Amino acid sequence: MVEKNRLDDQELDAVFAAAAQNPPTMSADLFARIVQDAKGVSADAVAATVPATPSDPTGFFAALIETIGGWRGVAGLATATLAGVWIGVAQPDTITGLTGGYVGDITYFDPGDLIPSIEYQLTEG
Amino acid sequence: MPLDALNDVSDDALLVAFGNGDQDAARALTLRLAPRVLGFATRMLNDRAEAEDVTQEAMMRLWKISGDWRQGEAKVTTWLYRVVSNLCTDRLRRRRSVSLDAIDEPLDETPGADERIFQAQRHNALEVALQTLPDRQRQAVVMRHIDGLANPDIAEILDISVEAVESLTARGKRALSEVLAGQREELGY
Repeated sequence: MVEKNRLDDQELDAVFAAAAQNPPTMSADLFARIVQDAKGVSADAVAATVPATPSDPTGFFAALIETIGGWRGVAGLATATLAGVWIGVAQPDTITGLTGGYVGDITYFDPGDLIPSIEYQLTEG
Repeated sequence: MPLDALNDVSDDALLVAFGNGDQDAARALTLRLAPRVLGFATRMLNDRAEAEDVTQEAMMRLWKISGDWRQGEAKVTTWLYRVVSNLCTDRLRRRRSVSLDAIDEPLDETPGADERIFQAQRHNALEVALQTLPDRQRQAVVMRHIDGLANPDIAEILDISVEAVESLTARGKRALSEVLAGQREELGY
């Protein structure tokens, strides 16, 4: 018995089939936009994975400078280096002035001054 | 590689290929998937421009996860439909007015085209009738009876049980059959 107030399953399936057989078409513009988005995503992915080139000197020296405490550290290192050279070539009385008398006069050290027991050991057979 | 040479390549494999930088794979996936989800979005939103926005957004999300896609774990279509479904639901929640304007379909009036006219009228009438369904019923009916998705896939897309899908489609079909009953003559019955 056909229900007048409803389509039956067969009739409804035919309606569905009519829709399924007429899918909406994608415009060329939409296709282009989607493909362009894909290119953008690929480009971003590549950019995110490219490392710094080995020939880039700033990479190595930047890391080195960072290790010794930045440019301030470099300045301190340079100062200490120059001071060491100056101390090495300067006369002893100049060094006494530099130390402000903290160490005292530095003219000569007898081994016995440094190691009191050594005189005994040196004189013993 | 020519796009037709990619016809036998699975969605999975194409997506992984795109993740490795293959732009032909992206074009092939777009041709294969975008029209389907565009049709679904159009039937959900009844607005071609909005449906295109949703389709583009969904495909963008697909491109972005391509690098993490693992073959064999999920279906690309199921994943994409789920994204489109959620995007449509978001838009529908933001606008609660349902337009019952018929989608423009040019009728074929060439001689001897009675059956084609009926086909066009059935299609047109269905598009209008679909808009009378609640959102979830419309989603389930479109995916099952127009897009041909299986109930388990629909269940995954809508995050409900298979039994819930069957209930939605059954209620949706009944509602449509009642709405369309008054147009038997136009539908050629």
